[in-house]
Amino acid sequence: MIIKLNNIYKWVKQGGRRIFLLNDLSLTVGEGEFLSIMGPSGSGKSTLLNVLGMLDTFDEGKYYFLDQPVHELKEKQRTKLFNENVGFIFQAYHLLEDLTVYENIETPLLYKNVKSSERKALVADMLDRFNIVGKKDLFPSQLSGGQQQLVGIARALVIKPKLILADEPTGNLNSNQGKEIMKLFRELNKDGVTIIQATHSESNAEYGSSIIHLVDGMIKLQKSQTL
Amino acid sequence: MIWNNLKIAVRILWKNRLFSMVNILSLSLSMAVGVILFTGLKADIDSDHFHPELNRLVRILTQETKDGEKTKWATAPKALEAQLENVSFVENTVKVRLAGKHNLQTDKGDIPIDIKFSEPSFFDVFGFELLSGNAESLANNPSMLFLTESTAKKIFGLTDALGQTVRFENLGTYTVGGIIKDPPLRTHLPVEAMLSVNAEKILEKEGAISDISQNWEHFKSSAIYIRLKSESNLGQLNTTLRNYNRRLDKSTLQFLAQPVEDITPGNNDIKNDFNVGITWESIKIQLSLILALTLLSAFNYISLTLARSVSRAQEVGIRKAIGATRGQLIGQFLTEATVIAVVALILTVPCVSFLMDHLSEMEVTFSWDITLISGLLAYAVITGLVAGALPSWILSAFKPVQILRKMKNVELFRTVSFYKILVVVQFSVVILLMIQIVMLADYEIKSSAIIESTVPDNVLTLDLKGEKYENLQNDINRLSQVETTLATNWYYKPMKMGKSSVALKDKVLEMDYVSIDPKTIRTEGIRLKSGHNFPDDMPQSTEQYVLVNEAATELLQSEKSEALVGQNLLLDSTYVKVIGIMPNEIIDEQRPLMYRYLSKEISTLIIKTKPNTELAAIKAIQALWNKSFPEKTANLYNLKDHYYSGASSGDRISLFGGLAFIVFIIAGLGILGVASYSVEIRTKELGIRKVLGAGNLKLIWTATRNFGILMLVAGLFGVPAGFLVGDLIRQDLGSNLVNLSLTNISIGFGLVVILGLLIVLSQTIRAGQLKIVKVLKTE
Repeated sequence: MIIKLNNIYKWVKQGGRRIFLLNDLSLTVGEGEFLSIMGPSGSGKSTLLNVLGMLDTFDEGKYYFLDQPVHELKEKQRTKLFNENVGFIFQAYHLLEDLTVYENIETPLLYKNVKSSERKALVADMLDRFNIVGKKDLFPSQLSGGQQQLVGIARALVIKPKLILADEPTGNLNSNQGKEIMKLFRELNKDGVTIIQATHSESNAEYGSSIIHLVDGMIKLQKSQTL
Repeated sequence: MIWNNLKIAVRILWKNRLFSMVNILSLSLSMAVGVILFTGLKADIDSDHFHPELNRLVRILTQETKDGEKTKWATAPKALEAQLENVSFVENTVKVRLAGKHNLQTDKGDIPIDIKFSEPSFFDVFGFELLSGNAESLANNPSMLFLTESTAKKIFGLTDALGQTVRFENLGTYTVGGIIKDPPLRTHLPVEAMLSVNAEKILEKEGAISDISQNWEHFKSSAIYIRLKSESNLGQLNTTLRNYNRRLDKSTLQFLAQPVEDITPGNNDIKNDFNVGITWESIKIQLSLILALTLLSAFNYISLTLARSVSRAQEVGIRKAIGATRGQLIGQFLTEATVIAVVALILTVPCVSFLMDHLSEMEVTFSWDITLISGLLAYAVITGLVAGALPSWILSAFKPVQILRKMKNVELFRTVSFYKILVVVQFSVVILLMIQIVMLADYEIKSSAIIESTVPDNVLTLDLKGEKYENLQNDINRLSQVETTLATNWYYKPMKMGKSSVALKDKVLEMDYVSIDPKTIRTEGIRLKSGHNFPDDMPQSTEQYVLVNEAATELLQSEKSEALVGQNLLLDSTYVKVIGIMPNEIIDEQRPLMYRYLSKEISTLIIKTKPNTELAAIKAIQALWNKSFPEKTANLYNLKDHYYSGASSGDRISLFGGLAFIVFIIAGLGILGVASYSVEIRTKELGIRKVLGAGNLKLIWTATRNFGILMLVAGLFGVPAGFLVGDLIRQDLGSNLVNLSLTNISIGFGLVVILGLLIVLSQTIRAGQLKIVKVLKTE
């Protein structure tokens, strides 16, 4: 089991009243699973992803990540656990504008103090795998959206994470580019990477091995499907 | 990682060129001042480090106890040296008489040269080297003189000085027998000219200089140095010195050994240490000045970086999301700040030479060596770290979720309005300084106007150099070009003052006096406040009458109503009658002053020439002088030129001007950056205002208004502070012409606001040129 959420609550106060972003949410995600989270805007998809990625905190409940109790860990330990095991992919790609493709992919390795020679090999692997060797010296602004998202995925994968969290990964792409990215996700999943994606699109959700529907921070519907 | 940080830093700085330029310029300017001060400090701290066996060199100090008070002197009685020569652990000794400046007579006039009398062992004990000549000849030949390289050049130019004869006023003629190499470092014992101890004996006998050789009481113009056999003998020496404690008539003398290494930085408690250089107090002041300037320009970096925090926040969010720790981000931001500071260092060098050219107080020499370069680099790195500390701490604290959630919480960062505090702090300092400049400039203008209106053009002043003047004055009076002459130490302002005790009834005070020609008041048509002038038949031998000025009257009167004229004052030990009161206003004399007739103390002849005869008069007077006193040079000047050249507040103006210039540039650069950035982030708002119908002027006003308010707030601090500092300067100058009026303060404050707003306008003017289509497109 990679993720286990038990009765998670998250709220914000507005005019003295609690507005629930996540409301008594329980969920388990097994290793090698590909989970799609669906739901309308404001249903709590991104909040859930941020909580899962330990970018955001929750107010009540228990969260086990790789059997470690996240709710009991100190911020430093949480950051470490996250940095070693989770890769994040964003709708707006969020590449570092001042770095080249190569450097963007390399940066997570730098933060993990990976040795230079090893870094070179890992980045070269990624460039190869996503067919972007020719673009390695370009800056993000010189790439198309699809290419940028490829770099984003390569950057998330370079640290060999156990879990990929993708927040509307195709939201800014045209349908063809979107399809390519989804196919890529499926391949990655086949190779053993656990993926959780938040999406608006039914067709993208279909790529997942299971789907949950969120409404007002609660799971309304959960289904597994065989691919 | 460091390499990577560097690469990113350079790219980011290049991308934000205006921001980087502003920071680099202001840092380099403040660092230039720092470099100059540091170099000066280093030269001072390295003082005397060229003497071999420096650790074994000591100087003898005298501790004088007089009326229960202890005073330390850097000098010691010459007679003590003989007692120390044979002490077992003393390797060598040297005594130096510090004779002070004496006029060297040349065709071009007098050159004051500092003279020391010493013996051959001087060149053994100290690291001074002879380029030519033989140290021993100092013992044999009393008419021989050593000059240092630079002094020889000053006197003879490029001509070989060796073998030339020089003539000193009162001391006679000497032949240059040796050239002393200029020491490589600063020293507390600078030499210009050295005469022998034998010459000293002869001069003492002739009465040309006072006899101090045998007299323990006269210890204030000679110094004794000792080279010990070992550094560890210092304690023993101090014990030995106790044997020579002396009880004199009015005081007791004790002696102490001070390692030469410890002389600089100096100690204010030790008197007569004229060339000690820097003291610990001024080291502290200079270090605080460096710190203050560094902080002022570091503020620019801080405010501009935080102003840009909106755009940097996203980057921080992404980096954290892909695994950066806070420490790693702090490292990255500190690297950026340090790169800026190191780049600024390159610009610092031209700034240093610019400042040295334009500010007289800032004069240093550089020797480019590895210590200097590594010192400069260290300074730059520290400056960078200081500047980068706060921004990196704040920026690295951003939470990724705040940024990545696409929340419109950008406002959150805009409240980090550090730059507002910064603009206020920087501009308060500028306002403070500018008020002083306006005030001092006003003072200069007024006092030159007074000199212009009171001091006549055709007046010469002749320094009498202690000679009897009666015959000379008669001769000069007979010259056809001369209208009148006065033998006086006061001519609209004091030229030489004395001090005496004054007693009136139960009041006893010390007061300055000048000796005045009794005819002065009448010839110059000065109207006394009350009383009358000295009588025509003034007796020369006994003093009977005195004039006082208004300020002195105020001090002496117990009550306002009481008339001082007609009262008898006890001056030192004679009773004299106050016969008149001089007005204060003449050339702004505010200090209490008495006008006495003491013909023996007269040091100056004031000569009024007939119109258009000045040059002829100078020639004729010089001829008369040379006939009467052939051994002395005539010092004859036009009085008005002389007054102007001795400008009293010029130094202060240049100091405050220099400081204000530097601080203003730093502050101006800061506000330039902030204003430019503020227009950028407000583009959308301004665009909407334009759509809603705001005119161009209105838009510019909207963008500029806030800065105007900040300047006014700066004025709330800067104006009172400027007033306080100005008041201190006014007290120091002791003049009523120093005017801290509303006009002067407003001019100072207004100038700063206008200059500041012009800089802001250079950026906000863009607000009026917004193209709506473009703005909407970017949105």
